[in-house]
Amino acid sequence: MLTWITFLFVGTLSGVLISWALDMSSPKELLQGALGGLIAGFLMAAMLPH
Amino acid sequence: MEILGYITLSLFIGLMLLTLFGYIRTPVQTVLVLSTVLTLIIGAVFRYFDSGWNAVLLMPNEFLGGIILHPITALLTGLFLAGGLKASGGFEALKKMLNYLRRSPIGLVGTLVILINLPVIASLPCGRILAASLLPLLFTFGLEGGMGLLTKSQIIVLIGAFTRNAMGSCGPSPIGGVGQIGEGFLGSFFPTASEGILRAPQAFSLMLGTAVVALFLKFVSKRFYPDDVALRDVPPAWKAEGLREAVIEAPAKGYLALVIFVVSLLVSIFQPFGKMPVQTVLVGGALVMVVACRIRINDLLDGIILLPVTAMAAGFLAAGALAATGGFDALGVILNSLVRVPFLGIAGMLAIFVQFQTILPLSCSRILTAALVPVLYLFGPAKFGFLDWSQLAVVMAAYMINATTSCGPSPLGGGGMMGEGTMRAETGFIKGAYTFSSMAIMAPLAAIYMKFLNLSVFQPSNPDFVRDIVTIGEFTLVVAVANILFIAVMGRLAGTNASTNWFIQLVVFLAGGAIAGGILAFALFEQNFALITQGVAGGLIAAALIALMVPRTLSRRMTATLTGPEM
Amino acid sequence: MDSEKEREIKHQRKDTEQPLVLPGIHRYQFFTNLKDRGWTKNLDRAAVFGIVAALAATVIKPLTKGNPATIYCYECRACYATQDRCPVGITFQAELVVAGRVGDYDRFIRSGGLKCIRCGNCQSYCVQYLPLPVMFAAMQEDTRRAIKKGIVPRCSLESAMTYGLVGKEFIDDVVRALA
Ligand code: SF4
Ligand code: SF4
Repeated sequence: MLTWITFLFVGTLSGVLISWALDMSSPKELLQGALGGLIAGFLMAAMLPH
Repeated sequence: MEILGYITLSLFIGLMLLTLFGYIRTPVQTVLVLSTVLTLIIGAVFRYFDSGWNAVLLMPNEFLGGIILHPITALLTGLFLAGGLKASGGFEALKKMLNYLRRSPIGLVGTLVILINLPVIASLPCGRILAASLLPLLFTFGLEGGMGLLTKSQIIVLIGAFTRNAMGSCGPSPIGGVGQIGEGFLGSFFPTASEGILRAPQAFSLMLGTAVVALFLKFVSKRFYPDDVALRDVPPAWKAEGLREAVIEAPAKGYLALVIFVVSLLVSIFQPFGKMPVQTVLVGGALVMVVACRIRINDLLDGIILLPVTAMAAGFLAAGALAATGGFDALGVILNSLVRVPFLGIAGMLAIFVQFQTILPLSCSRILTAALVPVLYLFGPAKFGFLDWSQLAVVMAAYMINATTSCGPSPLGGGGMMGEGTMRAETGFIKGAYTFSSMAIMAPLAAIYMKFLNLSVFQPSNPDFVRDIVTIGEFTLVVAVANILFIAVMGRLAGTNASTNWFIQLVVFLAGGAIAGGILAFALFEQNFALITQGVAGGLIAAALIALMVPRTLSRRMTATLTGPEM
Repeated sequence: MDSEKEREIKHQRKDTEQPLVLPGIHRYQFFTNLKDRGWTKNLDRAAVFGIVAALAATVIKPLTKGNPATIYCYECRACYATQDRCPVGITFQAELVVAGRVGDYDRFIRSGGLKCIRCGNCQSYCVQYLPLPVMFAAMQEDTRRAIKKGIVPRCSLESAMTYGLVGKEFIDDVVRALA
């Protein structure tokens, strides 16, 4: 459970940062980046041992 | 014999430094092979007087032991698959699917974010597999690649971040990743360690580290080395015309190839048909691709690029020669003796030890990891007793992520060079970004994650989960915010004078390293002020060593080195 | 104007003009644009052929020595997790595998290869379930032959005896070699 939370958190954070770095920093794009990061974090957490 | 180790070690490091700073101007393979030969000659002389002719004759066997076949074959399979995908139109199919994704709610950015994090999600045992097969795709997003969707600076960030992620993903891999070296050792105390005690901390810090690399590339690298990426930008007129919507035709066999690619990746990760080498699965996939999509074997071979393979192999040879002559033993002794330096102590020594592979990045992290993790293990209860088991686990987490990411910044045939090549940048372009994120972000975060979350999962005695998770969140934010601030300031201050830039970078590295060392000491010894100071001192030293190796300028030196005198 | 010119010089590397560096190397390189330098051309070639020969040797050697499975080892060292499940206390199984691959007798003996009783406990920790006991057995026999021929340096045998790294199946051979 906690692993899930931390990974969703870090995924979102990294998603926002990456979209900022990619020069895509309108609110909509940041949100999309966060969403992408959320998915990435979710997938990552799903791959880990529990 | 011991003195021999010191001699060969200094020889190796000296040659590497000379190459790094451009005094030796030959391709890296040649330098590494030279280093191998010299080391072997010196070693043979010593051997002859020490234990006779027979011992000399055995030396070739010993140094061949330095070759780690796995990353080499992994890279080859990755290139194979890339060749197959390219020939069958798989990349076109992939582009088309990306086009659909772009119109979905997550948009282009979300797609790219997932793509960048794909390597760590897939966690293959060598990052080069995915890098070799997907870098050509990422390249197509730019102008030269045909799609023209992203600008030059976006391509740099995209490729740099993806490569960073790939060249750390061999750490958390459960199917033969580098992290398993540490897990094996921790297994003697944590009964379930081999199920992946180090995976979560590594993946966690890698995801954030990737994001920081992206920022660093955007704000710093581009300003420090403005002329060192030979990509072209999309002309504004193109954008206005909307050429980005260029019609992409994907043949049906392209989709088929893509499905085969994905299925073989999944099979190699989850191993549903019993344990087997990743390479076998992927080559099997490539062969199925040949049959099903009717491509020629030649097309597969066409994807193979020998240069990265030989560079990596040369790195192994040099390392093998060092190992055979006791160079790594000498290294272990040196690191071990740092404990006795008064202002460093145990915390400072560990802060340097943890960063060591980033200080000396080699073409594959396994070379040094195999030599140094046993040393680290001995610091624990097994021999010296500097650390207890949970502290050892914390150090191991920090060490491991730092180690596995070290093939990224390595100019000696490391994986990051594939990224640099793809973005048409000079060698060394990404070094600052990669080393900074390994040092200042990944190592401390992995330690914090291990300390506050993972240990309680693997050693269920700690009831206060919520507090721990808040601690992790706080630390993550603090580390991230502090370093982003540093990066932003560095980007602001960057001017046209390379020396000033470099000096600013040094200061920022020192700040980042000090924080990292302090956090590491805190994760190990909690609020012990003296030890935290020692950790900071160690972090400073490590950071100075790392920053000194980041090249000041690239174009003049490297272009001259690589493109020959006729220009 | 001057800076303009300089910029142009720096950007002379164009992919379309990429020369073939060495046979088999793609024109379109991921891997920055290495080009031959006149005076090092032959040195570079020799280096690359050396590398390729070394690679070939690492693959061919285990094949001829009857220990082909060692090629598959990832050197991930997950097998170190065997720890005290190894009845004779061998901690570095992967070292034995690598030593077996290249025929490094000293490394094999130093890591305790002559102690192994081939019980197979470590095999279950290998991420690929490689037949570790079979590989160790092959290398043990190879080492025995080498000891008999007197190739193995005396000092490694001596230290093996001192630290108790020789199993009872091999003790006779070692003692005879040292005598
Ligand atoms: S096969 Fe050998 S190394 Fe493996 S557990 Fe048994 S005795 Fe130890
Ligand atoms: S676990 Fe298997 S593949 Fe990994 S190092 Fe050990 S023997 Fe090799």
